[in-house]
Amino acid sequence: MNETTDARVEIYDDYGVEGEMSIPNQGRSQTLGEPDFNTLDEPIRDTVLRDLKAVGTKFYHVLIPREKKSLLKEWDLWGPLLLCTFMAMILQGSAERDSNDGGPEFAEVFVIVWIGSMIVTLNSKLLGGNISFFQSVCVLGYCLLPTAMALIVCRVMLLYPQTNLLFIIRFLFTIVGFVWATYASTAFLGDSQPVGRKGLAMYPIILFYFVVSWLIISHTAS
Amino acid sequence: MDPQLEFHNAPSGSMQNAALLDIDSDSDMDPGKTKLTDNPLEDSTDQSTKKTSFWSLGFFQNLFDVDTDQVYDRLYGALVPFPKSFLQHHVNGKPDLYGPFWICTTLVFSIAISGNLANYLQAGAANENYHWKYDFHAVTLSATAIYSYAWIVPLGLWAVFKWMVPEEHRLSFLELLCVYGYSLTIYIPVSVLWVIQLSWLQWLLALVGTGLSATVLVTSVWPAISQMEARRYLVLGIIIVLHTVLAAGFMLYFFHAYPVLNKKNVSLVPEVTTIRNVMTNNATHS
Repeated sequence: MNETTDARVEIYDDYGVEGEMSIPNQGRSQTLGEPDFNTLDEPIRDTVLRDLKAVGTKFYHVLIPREKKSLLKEWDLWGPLLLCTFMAMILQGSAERDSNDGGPEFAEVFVIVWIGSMIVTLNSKLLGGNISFFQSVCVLGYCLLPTAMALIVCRVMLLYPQTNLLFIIRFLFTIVGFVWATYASTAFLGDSQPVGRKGLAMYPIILFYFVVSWLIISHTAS
Repeated sequence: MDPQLEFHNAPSGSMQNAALLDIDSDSDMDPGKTKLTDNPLEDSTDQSTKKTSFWSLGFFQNLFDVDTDQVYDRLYGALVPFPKSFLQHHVNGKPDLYGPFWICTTLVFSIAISGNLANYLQAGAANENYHWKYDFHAVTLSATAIYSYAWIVPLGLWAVFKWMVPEEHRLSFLELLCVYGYSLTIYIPVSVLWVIQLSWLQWLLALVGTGLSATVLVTSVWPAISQMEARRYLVLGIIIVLHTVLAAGFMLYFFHAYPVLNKKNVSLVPEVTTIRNVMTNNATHS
């Protein structure tokens, strides 16, 4: 009995939604929570700019991690892709020699960043974290921003002849980038873990940024 | 309590489900537990494999079902094996893979990073003007060595147990993985200390580290091994030798200074600098 009435209610609900569909855009977006723009008839520039703006806002939130939920609302992987490509381009060793050149290949940086963030995410899922897979990958990727900035600073300093003082400055910048990245990702992801397991979920994140920072400080111009 | 129902619930992933599931299955398993009291370890691992299939997230959630305090306790047990055996007193029949996996990963990077540091110190000692390059591929090498050691040896040991040990004394594969993973803990601080370029200190550290972690291993697997009459010392010997070879291999390959190697490195300097020149030239032309 119960089931049949439920089914009927559902049918009526469907009719109700169909009725609303004919109402113009604004009304629909308010009721269903869909975006209030239509990508079919807007210029491409608007579409691209909107995405860029979303990426830019996320970067801003990583630099100033005040709102905890700001990065978790809508995930995208554009920012991580940009950062990862940029870092891989700078960090890669030269391809001309195969021995003792030292630096990782382009693809190896990619693997470290993507597989690394996926494993870290999988770890927090397995520990019982309450967050979707790509949300977490997105946050981990965006939080690479401070380390990428440290990389830029280090790269600029490498243009000058190397002294111990310059090395210490590079080292300090790398440390700051590492701490910043860890702090930001902890702020975003910390709440998704059960109480007794925060430490277990945070440790891999720290290790992840530590390894990335090691790649940065070890990079000595190719 | 329909077992089929439980099976379907688990992969949905939320922690609440998993927690509920544990409670349910415990009450289910109680009669079974009292039947198999001679080996509670075997029983509880069977339980976890029965509940969910290998390919579901729930199966692995059971293996990551540890709290921070528990992991601290196990790490402590793996570092200080003296009063009690690791497996019987710290794991209590609930092996996890969180510890082994992250201990191996940490060890991979700590060996690669401090190995590079050691290499730098050696190069600096050999030649003042040496243009040092870090070697990222130490990571690849140490990862291959550590990950394969941490699961191939337990797999082999598990097969040997299956063959030679009566069923009620066997250790499950997961328990062996857990013991082997945690037994590598001591090598993390040791690998950092190996950076110090004093030959006697390096050997001493290798000796202490191997001694401690072999103690963890041996005290944990001894109850099973002692069941093999004639071959028990052979198997025990193989376990200890493999463990020692691993530690000695790490130290000699990544940390120990060889005079011959230093010469080879130094000879590379002109080539590296010429590449740099070529690259900067290209950069200015383009």
